[in-house]
Amino acid sequence: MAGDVVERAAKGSKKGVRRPKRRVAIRIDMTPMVDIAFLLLIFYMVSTVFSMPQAMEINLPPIEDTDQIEVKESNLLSVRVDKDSRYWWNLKTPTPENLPLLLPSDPDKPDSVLYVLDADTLRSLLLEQNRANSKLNTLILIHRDANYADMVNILDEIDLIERSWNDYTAREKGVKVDELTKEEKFSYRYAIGDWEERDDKIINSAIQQAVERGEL
Amino acid sequence: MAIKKKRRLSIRIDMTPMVDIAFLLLIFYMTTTQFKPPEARAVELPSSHSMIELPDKDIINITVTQYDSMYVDYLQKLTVNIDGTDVNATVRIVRKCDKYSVSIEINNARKKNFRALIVIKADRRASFGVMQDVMKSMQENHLERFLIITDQEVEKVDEDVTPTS
Repeated sequence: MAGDVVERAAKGSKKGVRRPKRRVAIRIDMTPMVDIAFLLLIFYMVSTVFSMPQAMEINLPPIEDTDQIEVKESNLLSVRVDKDSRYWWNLKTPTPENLPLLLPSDPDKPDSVLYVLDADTLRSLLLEQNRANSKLNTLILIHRDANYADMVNILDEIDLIERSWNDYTAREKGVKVDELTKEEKFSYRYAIGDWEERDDKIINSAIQQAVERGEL
Repeated sequence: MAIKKKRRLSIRIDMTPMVDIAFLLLIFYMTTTQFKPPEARAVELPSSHSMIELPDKDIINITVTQYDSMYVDYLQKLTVNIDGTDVNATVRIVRKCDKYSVSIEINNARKKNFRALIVIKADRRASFGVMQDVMKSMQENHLERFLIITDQEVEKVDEDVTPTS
């Protein structure tokens, strides 16, 4: 290999008889290229949105388990969403004396003519009822004409309570959330039921009551 | 005057590393950017505090628009024979359906990919009744676990959610 190089060098020197070509130092002005590069860079940086939509996991009960589940009257909290997406809640089974109460509209949006759910109120309601009764079962009834967002709102609040509750318990015990035992772990008991005709009647009476009280 | 004339130093900054980095970033952003495809069926998502990330493959999408029309779409791997050579291709299959046919479409999609996870992308204004029908028919097909796509809610939770007040 080395010999090859030497030979070539020797040949080169022979050719050196010719007048050596003058090397022209090429200087390319890189400014426009860099300009364009930065322009594209800024464009892509600005237009890139890294936020990916989040997902929410839903686990439905197997169809074999969807038969009647016995819930003690005193452990029942029902949340109803009527066709105008208004939220009503009551404990136990509704009776003329125990009609569902309207969850107040969001006070931060007083200008809105329509009812706007105040997620904080819903959360504190669910939370307080669960603090008061550890065996609480929440029955969610949503009218078919209500919005899909109403279901997501309720499930989101339930999910949030469950997560924060377990985080707190784990922190108190000094363990990780996964290490909590089944007894220590809080899992929110709820069911999504079918809206029936009698729910329409209940809500109609509840609306009447709310109008009389000046809540609506 | 005996003041020494200050010599002007001609400063030459070597821009090469800067340009290198610029190009590196440029290439990174160019390759990672995925432009949002224009959607024929725009869906306004509901918001939630959930933080589960959406998988980007092996999914069966169910789209429900604000007018309650329903579409099932999924990617399917096909082998097409072109001039005697087999060519692998991935096609997106979009099927319009209703509350009765949704479970058939889901079953068809699942036959092609058993690992596929069902992801529901529904408009916040879609009616709950339609969603209830979808959930019922999924239950009947023993598809109890699924994901729903939501926008992340920016609003902070002000109170501390604890077992005791």
